[in-house]
Amino acid sequence: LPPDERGLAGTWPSGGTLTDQAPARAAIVAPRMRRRWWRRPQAYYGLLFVSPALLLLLVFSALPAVGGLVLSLTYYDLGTAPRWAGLENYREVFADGLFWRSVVNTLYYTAATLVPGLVLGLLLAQLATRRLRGVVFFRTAFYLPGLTSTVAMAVVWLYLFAPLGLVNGLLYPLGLPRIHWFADPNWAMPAIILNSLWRGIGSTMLIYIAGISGIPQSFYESAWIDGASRWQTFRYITLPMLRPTTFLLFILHLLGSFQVFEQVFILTSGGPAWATTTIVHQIYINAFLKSQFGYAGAQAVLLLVVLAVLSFVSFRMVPTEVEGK
Amino acid sequence: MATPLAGSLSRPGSRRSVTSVIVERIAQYALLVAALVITATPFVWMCLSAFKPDSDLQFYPPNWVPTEWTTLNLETAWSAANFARFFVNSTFVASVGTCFYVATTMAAGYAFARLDFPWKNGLFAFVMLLLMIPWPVTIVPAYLVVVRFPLFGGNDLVGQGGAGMLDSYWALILPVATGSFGIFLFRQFFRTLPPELEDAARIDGASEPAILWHVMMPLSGAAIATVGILHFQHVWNSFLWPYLVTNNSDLFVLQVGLRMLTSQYNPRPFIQMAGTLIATVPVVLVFFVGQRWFVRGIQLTGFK
Repeated sequence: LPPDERGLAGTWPSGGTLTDQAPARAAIVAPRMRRRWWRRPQAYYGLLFVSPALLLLLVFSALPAVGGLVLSLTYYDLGTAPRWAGLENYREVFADGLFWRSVVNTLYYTAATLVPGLVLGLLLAQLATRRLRGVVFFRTAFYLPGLTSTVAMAVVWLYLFAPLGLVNGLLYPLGLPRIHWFADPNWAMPAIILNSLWRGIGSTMLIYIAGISGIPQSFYESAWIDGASRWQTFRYITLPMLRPTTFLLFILHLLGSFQVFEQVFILTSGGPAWATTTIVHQIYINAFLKSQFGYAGAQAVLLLVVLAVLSFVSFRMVPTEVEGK
Repeated sequence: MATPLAGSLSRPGSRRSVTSVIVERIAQYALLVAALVITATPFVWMCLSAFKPDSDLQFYPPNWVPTEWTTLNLETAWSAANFARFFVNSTFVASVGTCFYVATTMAAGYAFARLDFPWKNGLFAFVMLLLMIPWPVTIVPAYLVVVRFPLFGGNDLVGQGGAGMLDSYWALILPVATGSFGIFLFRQFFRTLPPELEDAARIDGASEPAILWHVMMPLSGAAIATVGILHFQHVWNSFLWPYLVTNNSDLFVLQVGLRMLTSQYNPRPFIQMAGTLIATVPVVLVFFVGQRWFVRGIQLTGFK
């Protein structure tokens, strides 16, 4: 037998030499110094335990990830065999006005949700960590929007911001003109942004609460003794101590808002006049409406590159003094 | 020292007058209530609108409380728009998917945390690498994998000829049956348990599966609940993937059905709100039952 098969076809488990261990352990504690991995239960059970998860990941994550890269170098419409395209898809993406439109829209969305989302979340966290009666109830209520599905809340948004909906109804007594939110290129994106801010604020708050509760109380006590005002303790203790939390949230929100899709899909389908189409919405359209899978793949790979660069740059920007504290 | 604004309520407030404390408290409650109004209004609006008769559409600005409470919208959504079926599908997919997810990620997380096996570090790096790939990058090729899956839905060995896993529960469940994130969480969790536990069991002759089942699992209640609830909510709320892989309305999950409802009953917002209410209530219930673990999961990970 070749050496590799000898172990499998060998005498395990009954033939293991008995040692001073219990007989059941004989196979585990083999007499040889260097045991082959298949003779160690830890080794094959380890592989056994990870294999269901790894097989599924391989098929539904790793294969698509590599496949997407290959796909982006081909023309493929699902009907006929893929044809080699080289970098042609990428060249076309860069020349695609609609793609650049979606990039601008995505940047607009990111700029308008990122910082306001963090600031509002921090404010809520400040309020929700006060020692007040019933504060836990408020905390739960603030978190509820983030719990529900994007689609469900987008449907509610459609009705809230309908021409005869509640929002216009509230503006009406103020004498403001009726806004056709989702039909007006200037107002469609703000309505989407309000939806995302409203939904995202609860989880931002929760993470900030975790950060705030990690700040040692003694820092505040010594500041009070020194006579610091509340603004000063917030400015010179809370904010700097929360920097790692803020950084984490910044990255998560940044990556998240570059991938915004479902709100856009339900609320406006990218319209009116492509005023709200985003990068992922373009990927969706090209793949599933136009059956240009290679082209959509190229856009997805470009998105991956942008996200990787953004994360890399953000990590480089982390203030090093944070580590020291 | 103390300016009127200074000091939180936990602060020794000996120098502050009673009035300033009361004013501050009122201001804080006012802010909390204002934030509550903003977060709650869409929900309240959804719930109230779900019970309005169609005649209430005539009002502008719209009325808050239904002129006459009716369950007709809920009945229409539930039976006419087949929400009962969508509800069963969502429950089935989310429950089965979550069970598989917890089982596969717990086993893998335990192995990565505690067992010594070949290629362990390389395989774990692979898992972590997949965690960093954003979903828009993989969703298009993942769809192609499902369509071209060999020996499913009339496909031959190389995945040609049929529809693959499209329009089957396989396509809904298998892609959510495991995930890097759960593996990571379970690994972190098992690393916090003392290794003496399994060593003792091992010396007593317990096999590795027995250790996982009888020693580790009873200790993992909190981790299982955290991972399970987060994943259940994720699957229940996910829309795009089920939307892509199902065309047959018998296989629609609630989120996809909701999308269908909004186009089918386009000028009838009250029926849409009733459907939204049906799609939202279960996940809110799951949240209230498992709130403790849920909040911990969010704070532990920064994800939702």
